[in-house]
Amino acid sequence: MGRQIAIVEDEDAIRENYAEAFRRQGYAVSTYAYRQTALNRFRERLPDLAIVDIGLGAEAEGGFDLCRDLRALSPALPIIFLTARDSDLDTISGLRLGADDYLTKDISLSHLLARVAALFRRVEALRSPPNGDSVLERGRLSLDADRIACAWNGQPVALTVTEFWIVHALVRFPGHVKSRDQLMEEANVVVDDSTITSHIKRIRRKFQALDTEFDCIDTVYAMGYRWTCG
Amino acid sequence: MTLFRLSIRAKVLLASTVLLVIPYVGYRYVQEMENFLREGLEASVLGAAQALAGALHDRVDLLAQYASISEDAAFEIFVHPLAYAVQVDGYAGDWEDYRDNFKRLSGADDESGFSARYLAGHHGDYLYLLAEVTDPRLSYRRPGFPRSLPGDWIDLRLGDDSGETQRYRLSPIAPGRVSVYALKDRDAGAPLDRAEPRIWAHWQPDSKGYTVELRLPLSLLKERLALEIVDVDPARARVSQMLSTTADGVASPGRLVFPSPGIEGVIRSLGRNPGRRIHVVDTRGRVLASGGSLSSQAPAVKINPLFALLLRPPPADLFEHTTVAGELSGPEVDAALEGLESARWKSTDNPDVFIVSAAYPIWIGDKVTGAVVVEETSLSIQTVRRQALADLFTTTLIVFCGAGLLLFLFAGRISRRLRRLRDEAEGAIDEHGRLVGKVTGISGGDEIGDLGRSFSSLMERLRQYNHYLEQLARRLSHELRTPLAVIRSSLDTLAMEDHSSDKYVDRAREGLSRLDTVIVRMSEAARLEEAMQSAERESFDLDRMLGASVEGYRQTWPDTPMTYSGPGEACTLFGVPDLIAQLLDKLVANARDFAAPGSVITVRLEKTRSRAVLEVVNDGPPLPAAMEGKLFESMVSLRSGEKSVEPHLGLGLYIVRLIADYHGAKAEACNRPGGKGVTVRVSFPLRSSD
Repeated sequence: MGRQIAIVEDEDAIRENYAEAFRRQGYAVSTYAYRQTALNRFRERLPDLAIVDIGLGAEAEGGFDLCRDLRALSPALPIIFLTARDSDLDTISGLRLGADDYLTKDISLSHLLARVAALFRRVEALRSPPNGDSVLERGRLSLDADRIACAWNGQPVALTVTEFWIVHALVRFPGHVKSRDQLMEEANVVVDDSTITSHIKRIRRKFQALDTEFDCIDTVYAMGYRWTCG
Repeated sequence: MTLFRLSIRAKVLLASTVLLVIPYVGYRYVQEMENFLREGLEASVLGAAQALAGALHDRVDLLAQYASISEDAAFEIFVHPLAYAVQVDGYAGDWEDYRDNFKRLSGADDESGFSARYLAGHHGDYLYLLAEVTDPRLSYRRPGFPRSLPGDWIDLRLGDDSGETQRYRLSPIAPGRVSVYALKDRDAGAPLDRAEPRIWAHWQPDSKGYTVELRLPLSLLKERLALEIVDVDPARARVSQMLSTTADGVASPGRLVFPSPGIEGVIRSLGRNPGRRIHVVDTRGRVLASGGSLSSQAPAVKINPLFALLLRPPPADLFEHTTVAGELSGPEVDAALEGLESARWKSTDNPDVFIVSAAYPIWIGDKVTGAVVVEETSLSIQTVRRQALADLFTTTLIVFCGAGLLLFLFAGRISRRLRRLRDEAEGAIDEHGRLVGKVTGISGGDEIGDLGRSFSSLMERLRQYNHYLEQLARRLSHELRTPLAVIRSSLDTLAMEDHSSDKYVDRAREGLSRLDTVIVRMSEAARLEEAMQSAERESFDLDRMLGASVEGYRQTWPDTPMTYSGPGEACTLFGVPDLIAQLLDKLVANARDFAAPGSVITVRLEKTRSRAVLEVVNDGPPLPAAMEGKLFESMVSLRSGEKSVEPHLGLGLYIVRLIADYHGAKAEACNRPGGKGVTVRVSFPLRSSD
């Protein structure tokens, strides 16, 4: 598709594997092992999508700095964070660096590709006028699958791609209990149960930040979750 | 196993009984000192004897009369110096002290049973005579008729060296006071016309015969005296027997031997010796002169009243020793009369007091003519000894009390410090072996302080190691992720590129996924701890949650029968519902793994006033006894090595414990009664307002 993807990752094998996979899909890939090199290049020419590893070389949080700098250069650029530590997910979320998704490195290639595709689709969708087909409305919630946009009471909720897919899975059949496995599948991610729990917790918090009364996501113990409103 | 526990204080006190050596040593020392003093006393007394003997040495003038006594020694009458005036009443009670010195009159024969013995003494200006006569047949003179039958009589013959003698007769009419008559001859019928009023006599019969006491002024005496005692046979009116101090009444009277005033003068000239008694004896052991007296009372000494309770009281009046009598005997006297100085210790009535008697010979030329005997009591030593013991006692008491108190306090302090250290050390680690407290650095520059500091650093190192271990799982999982990502991405690429090796790729992927699970499990505990730190607690109904969960399990695993029984009322818990759900997941998963196939797993909630008790019960094999306390530790697993679908790290119950601890609950696992299964129980505290 001629899109330019930048991969910033200090682990050679991973970097090359990803690069080859993307290239096979038809993307153009530029790879960087060092933050500074990447930043210099970005200053000259921005990529269409960036995949950034948090721990770059000696800097444990080099990725954060890069993201901030990149965001400063382009507010709309899709950025995906990769990290080896899932404890960072909460940190990253808290930092609100504006990444579009944060994933652990054990994600499979196919899931990564799915995200990249979704993000590019979103870029397209944002450029063209809103298309009603992909919008899902449930009560005060409105989801636009193409734009990966979520609104509650008309106010936008900044969900990551993973979180969006989870909410989407729940909302599609309100009242139905979705097990964690099912949610994982919909979110194109393979993690353990407690990570799903953390995602749900973060989703809830994001909604509650806008509406303190939000409790549409119901925990059904030992079974999963369900959307109860609307 | 401690058979018998002694605290440090007790041990120190026990060890301090070694202090008992002090009084023992002191006592021994006092005894040694006493011996030393005794030797000193003995030497002193012997020295005094020697001094006096030296003064009398070669004093022919004083001692000559005694030197030549030997010829008619048998007839001589020794006049003992009496301590007091004898009462002339015919009773010999006054003479008790001198009993040892009776002399027998010769002429007695055993057949008739007629015998007598006499004693002579002087006091003041008088000579006293005592005669005890054994006479089975008493007869008295009939008064009135000068030539009537005479009764038993006693004759006294006073003579001088030239041969002149005067005879006096005692012829009693009746018991009691008897007149004494001077006689010209010795006939039985001699007229009794010249009374001698200066001589008193008293005649008393007794069980054996009769006793006579006589008193005559010393001025009446010349050099010689003899006594004759006559028994008359009234039936035949004639003399049946005669006893005499001389042989057969024929020879001239024996010499009167008096103690020598000259010697007494010498004794006096040697100075006063309070507490010391001096005798000068002749070769026969007869006392020639005496001086001084034994002290009879110990000088009063003030001692500790406590001590006085323990000891025998000091000797009261010492019984004046009986050797006031006229003759001294004893090994020391005998030795001295042989020419050897010697000393002897004699006991008295009081067991603590002794008398030392030293004798030194008196020489004239190279012949022993007598000996000086000096006696002294050991009362002074006793006094010193008492004093010393009293002081020792007081000192010991003070030392003991002081030392005891000091040691007690010291031991108490050490014991207290050690106890504090022990309590802190015990409190620093909880029953699971985790560090919960600190051992504050015990101050102190000694070994206990070192121990405390060692503990502190030990705890610190332990804490760091524990921390390291806890982090290990997390760090390991983190380290492993990157290589796993490499493998996975490579496999993914391979899968997309080349489908000929799909089978191998699939197997590799499966292995990876299991590896993933392992990593997830390993870090589960760590993530749980993080989650617990940031979790928010809320009030929720435990009963409803459990009911819903069990329903969920039933749907997820329809082939495992499960029941839930609740308290029938709402049970509100303040905690994190997701964590409780996780806890229940683990318990149920465990129960499912161990349950006998087809058996029912029971989940039960009981509510009391202060606690909510959750139980998960399954049938199946019981817990081994050794494991019961340890199940909730991490990495402890009961499962044998059989292949299981999921890798098993033994972390399930550890997570249960972490969540239980977070909620302040207590988790325990025990065998069901009957040993047919296991109950795992988590007991949550309820807030009092719930």
